[in-house]
Amino acid sequence: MLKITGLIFIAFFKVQVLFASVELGMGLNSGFAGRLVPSLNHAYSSPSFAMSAFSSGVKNDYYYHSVYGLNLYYMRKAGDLFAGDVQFGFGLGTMFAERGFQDLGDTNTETHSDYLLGPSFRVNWSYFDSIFMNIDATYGLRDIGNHIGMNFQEIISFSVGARLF
Amino acid sequence: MKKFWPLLILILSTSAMGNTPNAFLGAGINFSSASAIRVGYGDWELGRFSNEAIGIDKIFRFDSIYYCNFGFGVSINSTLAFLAGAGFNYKVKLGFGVRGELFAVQDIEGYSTGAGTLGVSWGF
Repeated sequence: MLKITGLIFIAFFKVQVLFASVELGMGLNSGFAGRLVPSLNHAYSSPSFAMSAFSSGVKNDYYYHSVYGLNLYYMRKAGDLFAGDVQFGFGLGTMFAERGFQDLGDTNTETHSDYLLGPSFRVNWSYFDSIFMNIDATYGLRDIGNHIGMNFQEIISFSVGARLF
Repeated sequence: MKKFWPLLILILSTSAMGNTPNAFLGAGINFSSASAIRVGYGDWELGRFSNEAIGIDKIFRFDSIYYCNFGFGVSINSTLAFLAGAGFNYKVKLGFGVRGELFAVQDIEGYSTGAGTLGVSWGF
């Protein structure tokens, strides 16, 4: 038990060394095409790098829909907006979504999944070094013809939260 | 939507006095229409952020080419929206340049969208 506690402490300490702060937020994302489904957002960030993730989903007896995202960023301070710091990050993002439907009286669940991978950016606007509002935008690369026309399979994740430490 | 304009103009006028004007006309998806129509002063701009939102945003320049922006506005649902983008601007001649941007719009009712815009800037 002592070893496990020690390992957890070391892992936690190392995370703190690698990342200056841990962010926890709640928000919504575009994986549900406008439906207000809350998502849980989490990020480790430092002045130079950030790793953010979100997860959200809905479920009932016949249907479920889950959306997950993970982004890695190179971060830099952009400036300030109304006395709040603005941090900007550019990097790579990915999203995975799965939805399933089971018709009434049917025993099989019909499932579909989506994924995307592409460039992403993050704008984080914070006050008091702890309260922030964040937008993560990932632009999925799939069809070069569409991208020439500036069309992407995008996922936008918006969150409001706090830096825990 | 009209009730937001005085507030946006007030913010712009008090935050950007003494700077140079700029303008941006950007094409939307498949170059089928004008997506972004923005005018501003210094680091601020207002107007049509994209096909889906109007508002005001602040430009944060990283060097002479790359920038990001963040601001507020009104989405096509007539609700408060947050606007963000990342892009580049290559100066060409006579103050004109080629500006491209990946943008994201998120409103408080859950609507969100993102795409690219590419067009002509002036005074950027």
